[in-house]
Amino acid sequence: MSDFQEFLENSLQQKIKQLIPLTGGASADINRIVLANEDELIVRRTLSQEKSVMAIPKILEAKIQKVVKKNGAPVPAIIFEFSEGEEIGEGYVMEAIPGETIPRKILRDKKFASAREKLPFEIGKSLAKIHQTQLDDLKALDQVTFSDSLGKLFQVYLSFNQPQPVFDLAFKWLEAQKLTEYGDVLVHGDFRFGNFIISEENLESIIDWELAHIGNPMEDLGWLCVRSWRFGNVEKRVGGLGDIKDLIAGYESNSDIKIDESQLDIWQLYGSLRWGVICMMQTFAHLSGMVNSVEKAAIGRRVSETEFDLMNMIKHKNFL
Amino acid sequence: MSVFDRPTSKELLEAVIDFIDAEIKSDSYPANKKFKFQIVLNVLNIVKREVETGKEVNEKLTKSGSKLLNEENFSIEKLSEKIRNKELDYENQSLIDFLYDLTEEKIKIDNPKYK
Repeated sequence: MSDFQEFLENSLQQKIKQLIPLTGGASADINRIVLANEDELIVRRTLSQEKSVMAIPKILEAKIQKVVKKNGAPVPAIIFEFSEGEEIGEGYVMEAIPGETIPRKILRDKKFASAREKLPFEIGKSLAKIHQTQLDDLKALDQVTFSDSLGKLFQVYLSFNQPQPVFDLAFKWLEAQKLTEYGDVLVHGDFRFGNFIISEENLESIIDWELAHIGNPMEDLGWLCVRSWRFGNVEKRVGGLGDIKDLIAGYESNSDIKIDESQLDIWQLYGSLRWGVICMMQTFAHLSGMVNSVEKAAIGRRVSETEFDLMNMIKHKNFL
Repeated sequence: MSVFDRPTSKELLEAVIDFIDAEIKSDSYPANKKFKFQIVLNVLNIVKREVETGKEVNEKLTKSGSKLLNEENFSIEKLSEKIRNKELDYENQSLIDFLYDLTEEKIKIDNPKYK
């Protein structure tokens, strides 16, 4: 038995039948815990040697989930947190919410048909709840303004030393926009399909809080609308699933914030640019020799997809 | 004209693409490997399309790029620099049109189904 399994058994005071590794966020080691009585839990942790520059510490992730849950938004309940030495790392155990996260299945499988109809509204409603989270307990989170984000993204882009004129145009376009301030809120930071657990009935849970920060609420809404997560259903702006009107209606049904679609457009354009730079980051991990991966090499040629999206938004004002 | 014999580089790539495609279509092929080989196929198809039309596209865009920059020698680096230092304004219609063309040509090579 591994030290990690032994540690979990001692902490949970229960025998573990199986630990199943799951693929997850860029900076987390995630396992499904199957207990001797067949109950299931999820453990997310970071091993000390693989701390990411982008992700927040796992303990903070757990804290956010607790605060968000207390406020009534759908997130898995935290069972316990740990911060141990190198072998075990830092992380937390949470409840395993049954449901599907794979976007293509949610978008295509018959059994999700009735859930699909209400998801844009429900996702908007839950996001509004998240954005109302009291920030008093979350002071450890970074506060990030739009110009901070843009500046940081530009530095990352410059670091590859591979000019992409479309990105340069997009940076200049974004710098010239007038952003509406809605007051600081808790931003999930990676709010899109893949991080939603969906049952046949509804949205069950929002997971993967490792990019959370304090910022503008429109960031989450814009990111959700980025074309890269529509999985072929291009005309459906909300994750390939539904209309933006339903998302906005859901959000506004639960919030005092009134959404201006033109603000959402700006944040969606920013989202496409951000995804483009992340694709570059992935491919340069391969090109620099840090890892040798055909997937990472291939993703470099997906940068042109984000450039195509950016140019359609800039030239044709087409946000679909 | 080329000093190299047939099969041409494009024909060689096509042979490899057809082989992998047939191999992963068989039911006995494990699903996890199928996924990886699908990525390999995508990569090979990008290379094939670039071998096929890349030179011509490059020449065409270099020509229109020179016109945009009003300089004899065009380069992507120069263009980026001029946008960064605002020599070319982000609202300049000729710049936007050029970048749109550039993007359309790139997507035709990288992922022609992306529309």
